[in-house]
Amino acid sequence: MKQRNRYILLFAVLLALLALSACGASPEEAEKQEPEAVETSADVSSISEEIKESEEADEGAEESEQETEEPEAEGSVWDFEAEPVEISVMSFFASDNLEVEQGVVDAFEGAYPNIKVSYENISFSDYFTVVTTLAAGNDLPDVLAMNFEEEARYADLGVLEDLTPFIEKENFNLDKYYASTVRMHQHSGIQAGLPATFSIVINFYNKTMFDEAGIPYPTEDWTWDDLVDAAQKMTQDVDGDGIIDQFGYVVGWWPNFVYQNEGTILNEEGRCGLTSPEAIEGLQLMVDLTLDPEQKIAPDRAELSASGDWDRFMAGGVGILPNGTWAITPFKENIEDSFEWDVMPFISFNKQATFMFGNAYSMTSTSKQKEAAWEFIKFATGEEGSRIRQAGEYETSPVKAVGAKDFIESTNGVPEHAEYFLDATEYAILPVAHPLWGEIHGIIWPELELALLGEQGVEEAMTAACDGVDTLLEENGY
Amino acid sequence: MSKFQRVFSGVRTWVARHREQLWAYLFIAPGILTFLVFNLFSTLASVGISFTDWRLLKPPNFVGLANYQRLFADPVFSKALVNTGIYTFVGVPVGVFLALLLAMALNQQIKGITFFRVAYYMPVISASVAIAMVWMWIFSRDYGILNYLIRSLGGTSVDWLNNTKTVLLAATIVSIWKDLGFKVIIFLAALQDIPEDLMDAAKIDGARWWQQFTRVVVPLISPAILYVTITGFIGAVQGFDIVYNMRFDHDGGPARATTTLAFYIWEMGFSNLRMGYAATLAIALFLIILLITFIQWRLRKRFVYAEV
Repeated sequence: MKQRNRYILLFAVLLALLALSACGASPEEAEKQEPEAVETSADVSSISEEIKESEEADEGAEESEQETEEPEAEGSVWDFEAEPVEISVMSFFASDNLEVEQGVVDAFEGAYPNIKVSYENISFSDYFTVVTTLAAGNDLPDVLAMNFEEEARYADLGVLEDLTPFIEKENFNLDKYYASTVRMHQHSGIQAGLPATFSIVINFYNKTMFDEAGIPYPTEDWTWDDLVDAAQKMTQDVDGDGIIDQFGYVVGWWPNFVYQNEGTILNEEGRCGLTSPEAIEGLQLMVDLTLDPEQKIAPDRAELSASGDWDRFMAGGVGILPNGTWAITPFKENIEDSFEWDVMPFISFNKQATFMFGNAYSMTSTSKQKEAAWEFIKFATGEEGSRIRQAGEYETSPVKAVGAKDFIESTNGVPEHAEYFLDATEYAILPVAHPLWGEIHGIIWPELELALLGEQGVEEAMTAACDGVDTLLEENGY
Repeated sequence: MSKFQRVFSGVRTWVARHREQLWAYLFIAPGILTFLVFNLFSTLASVGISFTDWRLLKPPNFVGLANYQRLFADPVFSKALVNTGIYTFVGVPVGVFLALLLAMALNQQIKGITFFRVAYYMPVISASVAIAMVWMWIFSRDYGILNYLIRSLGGTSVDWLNNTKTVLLAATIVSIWKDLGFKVIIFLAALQDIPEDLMDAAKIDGARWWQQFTRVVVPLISPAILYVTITGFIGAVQGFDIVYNMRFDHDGGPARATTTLAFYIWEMGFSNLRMGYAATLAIALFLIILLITFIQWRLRKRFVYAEV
């Protein structure tokens, strides 16, 4: 008898093991399988039906009515009387200060009491690994934060919902955003997201180093020659050990040297444009500024690998550094009082062109609660959400009313000329956002790197790069 | 006796007869299930995936042998193959040789020997990221201690990590250093297993140090050499963490000089989201490992003494 009990136990343990291995459901999945969750998903369809019905009943009237009742929900068609639903949101915004984006979510839940948000913040370096894994497991949240480069790929692969129908349905006014930030999130023929933040690259400069070199601070009239003159004076071997330890300038992102010289990465036919004389001339300058002893004002690849451009600038070893809005907060925190710094316009050698980057909130095409997700996207990218994020000093708000005023205020006078970031929206351009950009870059960069190391000529490098890029594009039907 | 009772008692007799086996299966169940789910299933799945164009975010389409055709026309694949070959065929023999020397040194009865044994094992249990960071400083062109030594001996600085000709060598050195402790421990155990009387007998017969080493020590530890070489090869052919971490951009550069096969699989699968082609690359890697292991296994008959 005793023995039989033991076998029953053994059998039970085996069964439990099998169950564990067979359906290794994560806690979240398990939660979703609970009955309440099923009920809410049933509610969604009834809500959307209700919305349709009410729209048919009194179109237009509803909008003004709700605006008076709920001022936060501008232009909303959301039924505030409906049963609560839950949406999931995943974001990488302000990962180093979790309270910022959590504040946006809390404010949304306050304004929409019947939408519960299950919110998760993941640092940018892991974000797309997590999102890709969730997508492969068909378990994506309803709303995703996206940077515009990845957004291009996700939109192309059909992961993101086109927001155009939602915009058209309620005549949602896109004019409140800077137009370029809305355009930035149009990929593969869809509006893949609404802009949540943007950032722009201009020049940061070390005022203390300018003082020491006896160079007057840069003005808006500075030309490329002024910049090179100043940078040459600052490029020095300060401690005299034969190694240059102070640089006047840092060459930024390579596409910039192409676009400044009116070249293109992908030309009008959608093929590699880097073999054009303009592109080659631009990239040659990039090489010369780091490798040619006569023209050297910036660290080369080896010097940058010994110490990166951020570290060098923060340690007071760089005069002028092209960098983005995202650098303001880290620079403030790390430089503190060790030297004075400010920003100046981006200065180009030919055509005034700098890059604008941006993040959005997007809706996943697998979302089961699209109406609620849309409300969240509108709120989180709209004036109120944007204002919270801007107060948290995370990049710049694409909402004109917030970006222009709150952005400058949020910097508290450091850098003194923060308005140059906003002025740069006038001449900034959007980087290439091709669905295959990662792979295109993976072909161009190794070739260009050889040129930057002085191991091959720029023209040779670009010929090889374009061969590879064109083959890739053709194979994939672009 | 009802039918049910008969079946039940039958089961009971069977269980009673196989009691010990059942217990054995119960104890190995966690290991076997983990293996089945995470190894065997994944391996078989990659074979299937390699015939598709799966991009993770979209349902896969069957593409036949297209990925395998691409393999032969892919310049990055051949580059990765060469890089992996250098990394492996330089790293493993040098590593095994150094480990054997060190193990023999550590097999002496000298003061503080425990400290040295621990010291050599430290890199094995250290994080690859930390190791890569430290070695990046050592190899740095302007501030690195290695170039400082070279300069003080009258040479000129070598830009180890940015020169396409030296960076792979640098990574190989780091991987040898990292894995040395593991090999040393295995050799040390084997050396300590050699019976004293055999060594004494050799000495009495007038064998010199070199003869003792080649005629007694090496044959007796040859199973350990085989084991260390096979695991070393498998580890090196899969080399990823060192080359990944020794580049700030994690780009397998400069100019693809540190793109190993494992790195390329990672790049294709998780950076480019081309799981189909990544699976094909993984199968190529699997076949290479299989081939190397097979050759080594066949060679053991000629070189490995007395398998127990």
